[in-house]
Amino acid sequence: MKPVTRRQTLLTALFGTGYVGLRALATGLPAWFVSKPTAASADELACAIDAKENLQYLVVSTSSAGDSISCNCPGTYDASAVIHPAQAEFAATSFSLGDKAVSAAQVWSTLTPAVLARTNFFHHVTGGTVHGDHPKVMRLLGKLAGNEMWPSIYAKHLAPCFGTVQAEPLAVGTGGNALELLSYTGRTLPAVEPMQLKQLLTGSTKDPVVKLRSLRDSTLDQLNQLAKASGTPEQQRFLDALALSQNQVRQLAETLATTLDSITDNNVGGQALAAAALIAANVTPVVTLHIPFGKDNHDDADLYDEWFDHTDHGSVGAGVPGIQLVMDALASLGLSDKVTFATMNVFGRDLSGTTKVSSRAGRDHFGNHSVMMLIGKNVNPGVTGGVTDISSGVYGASDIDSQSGGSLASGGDIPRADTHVAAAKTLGVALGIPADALNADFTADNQAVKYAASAVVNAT
Amino acid sequence: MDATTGGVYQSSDAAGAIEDMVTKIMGYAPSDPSHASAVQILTDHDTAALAVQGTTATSALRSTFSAACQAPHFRRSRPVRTER
Repeated sequence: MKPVTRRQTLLTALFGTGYVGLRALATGLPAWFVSKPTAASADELACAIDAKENLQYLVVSTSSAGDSISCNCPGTYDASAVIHPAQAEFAATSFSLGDKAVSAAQVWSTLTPAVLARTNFFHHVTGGTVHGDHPKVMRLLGKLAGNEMWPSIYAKHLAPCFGTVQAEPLAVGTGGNALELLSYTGRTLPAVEPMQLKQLLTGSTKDPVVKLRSLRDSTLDQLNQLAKASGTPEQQRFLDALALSQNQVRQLAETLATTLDSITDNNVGGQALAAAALIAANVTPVVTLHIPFGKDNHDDADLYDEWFDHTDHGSVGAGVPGIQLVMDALASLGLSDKVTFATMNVFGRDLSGTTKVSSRAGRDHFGNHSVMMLIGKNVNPGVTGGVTDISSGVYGASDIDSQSGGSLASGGDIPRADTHVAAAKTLGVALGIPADALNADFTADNQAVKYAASAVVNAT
Repeated sequence: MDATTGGVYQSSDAAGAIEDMVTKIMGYAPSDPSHASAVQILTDHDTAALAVQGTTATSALRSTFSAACQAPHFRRSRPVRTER
């Protein structure tokens, strides 16, 4: 028996047995169709057609370090007690999220207008207090059915309609940190590093079979016509909607090759390109990566590390420029309208009310406030919730009014204790998953928690 | 393809290989009305590939196989049975 190489194992993991994913990539058709074309039902075909318009893939940055991304974004400058770094990039600056004026650290205003017009900052609690809580927080502290992780919940809903090669989400930014590995139906999933992906998928263009591809393109167009001629109206509609012309396939393959060739390291830039390539190739509906925002800055004189990462002073794609890198990578493959970006971390960091943070000497873990950032076609720009004095000058996440997104000290129809579940539901709805369909994924008590209708457009 | 041992297809029998690709890979049974058309399209591809300078019979059949792998095909609707 021939030994199985690591390359073969990884390729099979990414593209399925028989590399069905590569065939799917070459045709533009869903992997389930390519693997069993004669078994596709009319419902499955219709689902795939509708998904092109309504559903969103997800790229999400998670951090078990509990970075300070939540400390200087819109919504935190509304309370004068909240402490920010003193550097110029953190000066209170007015800018717009869509048609809503906000104030935040100047560095947040450097995202492009196109990105800001689709951005919402959702303030919430996580309940996590130590780094080891990260896998639990990814399961919303036991509030998800089957103790599933939230990226996996979305992936289960999205994969069948997108026809991705794998239903499982894929992590490209763990950097060997086991806390940030994902699980799916109880299985811990392998992670892939961007450079591994590049080495796996870039090949020779001198192969004689590759050189015959223009001839093959014309043959494939003929075979597509033959399949259409013998199909039902629904099957014809399916091919019209999803099957790529060979010219489109060639453009996609060449763009993907360029994208993969551009990966030079495993930093955020490489992760962003890998995530975009994996989605363009329809490998998975959800990719996680890791954008540093100051890391675990307990001892951080002058909040220097926070400034260093937020502004990407080290040129590794950290902070706000890192988010822009992700959005640029998605745009380069024409995915801006197909992918939603989000962040969700294990916890936030102290905003106020301690001697350490008041003297800008660092920030400790804080389970009472964090921020989920959403950017996408279905996202209504603005701020959802905010901060309020929860105990003697200690600011944490407030209640939320689900219809306006307003921050309320108390009495909101999304109580602060439920804001984490509400954030997760809101993200799901922003991905195009009907709110009713998500209910079953939340354990009984949490089915009553509302999502923030104010944060999404085109909700179904 | 054209492997010393264990190969599925031999370029010396391109016609047999194409017949098998259409039936087993593309899913057009010999009784399918589109079977003959699919065989013709792949045969034309193999012939045209062979005519390209520097292409071996093995490479031409590999390219034909690649096209067969990427071709879509649907299950035919069964006729509705009428009750007597």
